[in-house]
Amino acid sequence: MIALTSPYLWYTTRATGIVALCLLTVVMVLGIGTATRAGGRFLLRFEVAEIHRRLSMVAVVFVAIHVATTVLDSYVKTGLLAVVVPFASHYRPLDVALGAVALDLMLAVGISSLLRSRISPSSWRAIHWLSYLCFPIAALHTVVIGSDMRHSWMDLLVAACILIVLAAGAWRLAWHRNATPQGARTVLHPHPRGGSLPAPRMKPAAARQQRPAPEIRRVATSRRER
Amino acid sequence: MRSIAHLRVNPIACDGFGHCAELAPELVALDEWGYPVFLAADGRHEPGEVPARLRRVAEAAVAQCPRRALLLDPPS
Amino acid sequence: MSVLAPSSATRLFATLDGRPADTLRAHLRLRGAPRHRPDLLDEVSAAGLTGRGGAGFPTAVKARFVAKSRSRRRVVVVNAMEGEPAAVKDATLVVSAPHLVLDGAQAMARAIGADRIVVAVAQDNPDTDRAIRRAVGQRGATDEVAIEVLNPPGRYVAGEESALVHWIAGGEAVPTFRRDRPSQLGIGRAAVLVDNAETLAQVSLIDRFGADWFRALGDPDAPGTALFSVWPARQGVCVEAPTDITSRKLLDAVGFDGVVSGLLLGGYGGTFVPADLLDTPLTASALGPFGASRGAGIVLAVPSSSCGLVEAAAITRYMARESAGQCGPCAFGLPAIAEDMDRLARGLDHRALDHLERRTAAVDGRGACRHPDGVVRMVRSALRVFGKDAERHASGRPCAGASRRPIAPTPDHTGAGWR
Repeated sequence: MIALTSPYLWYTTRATGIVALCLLTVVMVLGIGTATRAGGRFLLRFEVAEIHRRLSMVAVVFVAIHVATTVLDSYVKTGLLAVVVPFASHYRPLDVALGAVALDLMLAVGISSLLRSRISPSSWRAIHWLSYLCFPIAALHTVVIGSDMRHSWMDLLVAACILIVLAAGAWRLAWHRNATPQGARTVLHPHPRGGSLPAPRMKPAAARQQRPAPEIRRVATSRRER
Repeated sequence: MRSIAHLRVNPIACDGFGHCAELAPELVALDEWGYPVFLAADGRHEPGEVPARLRRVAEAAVAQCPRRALLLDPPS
Repeated sequence: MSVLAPSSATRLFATLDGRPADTLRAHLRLRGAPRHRPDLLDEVSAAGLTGRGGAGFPTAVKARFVAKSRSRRRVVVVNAMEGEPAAVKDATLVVSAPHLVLDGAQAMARAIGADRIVVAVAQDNPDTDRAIRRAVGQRGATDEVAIEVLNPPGRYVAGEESALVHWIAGGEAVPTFRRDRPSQLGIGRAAVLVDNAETLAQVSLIDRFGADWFRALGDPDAPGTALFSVWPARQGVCVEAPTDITSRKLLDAVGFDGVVSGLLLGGYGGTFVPADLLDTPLTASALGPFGASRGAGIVLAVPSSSCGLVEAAAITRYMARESAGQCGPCAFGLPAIAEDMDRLARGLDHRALDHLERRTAAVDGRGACRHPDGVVRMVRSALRVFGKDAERHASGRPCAGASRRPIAPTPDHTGAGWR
């Protein structure tokens, strides 16, 4: 076993950890934004979803670096297994276990999303709900693992992350109640740039003779092909 | 008729996210409740028909649908 | 023991000594034993039997489609749900001639190779349920295929084929998305044939008496007799008549003697037609040019003392309540249309006609099932037939009949759930 330690490994572990938590906060908020059909006026709805997806990949990268530097650093004897198996670490087993569980959940959510076209939509959704379990565990991991090295700004940052996600979660609950009228199993939340009523269907020949129906306002004007 | 690609929607899976109308505004618009209506592309096709020029855009919209409700029937 | 084929138009409702043959013994005395024809589907095809559940699809074609399926197992579902509030025919048929229906189910099961029969009776029809269970009990060992009676919730769309099959397979009684049409319905790995109770009763008569006998009455394109639910007032009456009967004869048969301002034909997803059509045969060819069809055999008279728009508004509100709520245009469009119709009926909104024109176009064909299409058809026909009234209502002068309670029944099922 190579004994490798350096203060830089330790700084990297802590820095990437806190950045990962901040990124996860934004990812959660954007995920809730996607679900609540946020956007449409300044930021388009599909853009909210797209940023959510891309930022989650960035968060995974930061978590990967965080995990790698922790395992490599022999100052904290965690061992490779403890990355995914809870309580397999010698160093602070409970605190690391929380991180391992959060990582397991993140992997489940991430891998199921990569394989989305191959699994049923309901399976994908069920696994995706685990992100609401992942975030609190990741936040708890952050709070307990840094307990011997407290900085007030970091406490504030972590507290802010937790409060933001709680607020976003409450927003989502309220939104669902509003957007799902009695008896409906689908949602009523029209796009702010969406149209009113479409004109009755016309045969192409008739369509050529008439001007396009003014009631349909195209949602986006010219978008470059992605 | 079948020599051109067609866009369809699974109305049960569709939950009115509206991403399709954002990505393919020439093919899809939204009604007053936020649900997709297929447009007559270029003013000379039937609603739902996807001319070759807009094929990539239609495929992007299908891939992005959060509920996998948008379907593209390839030309047969 | 051979029995003479019925010579009058009273085929399904033939009586034994003046009483309905609802016990197995009486049924066999009246009808004779089933013939168990090996070529039943050929005979049904030659007879030209079409579905009596509303769609009017050729019965033999539908059965052959299921028989050809690659699944090893098949199920016959007897649809006795009668989700249409204005329909009383299936309930009446099951109570007075349950064994005809069950004979038909057995014959169909043999013809397509099914090893399971399910009879679906809505939860809120206890009389029908009791009658069919008693009949099944009487048959016991004489049946080849075991019959199971199940009770889905009594919602309007629960009687729709895909909703019914979805419920039987363990899901909710809501329609499912069918990628291709026609598509095979399934329960687990078994292919399913859903037939209306009346259709199967007709099948059992064809089995006994043959195609030529069947074709002796009715419209050549859709022969035989059919059951009609006739509404001269607030009570529906079931009448059996040849398929080319007229509305006037049906209304006369039930003792209606008023003046009609319009008729609702087919069902709540059917069509309003003007009183001029009282003497038009209720066949596809005669009604087709008016955009109407016999549908599930409902003939509802709108008397001149009532307001057709009030009837249509009440029906629209009911249909909106009964949406499964799965598809946006239906879940939100139908309540909006119902609201517009209501305001039109009460003379409150001069823009209601514009809204209705746009919203019906917005909703038509955009659901997973034909529920919104039916509502659109019914609303558009109401606005056509009662057009003059509509103009008057829209300008704030509703007619005198607008204050009368609607005739069309609109039960409240919203507490029933979907399981």
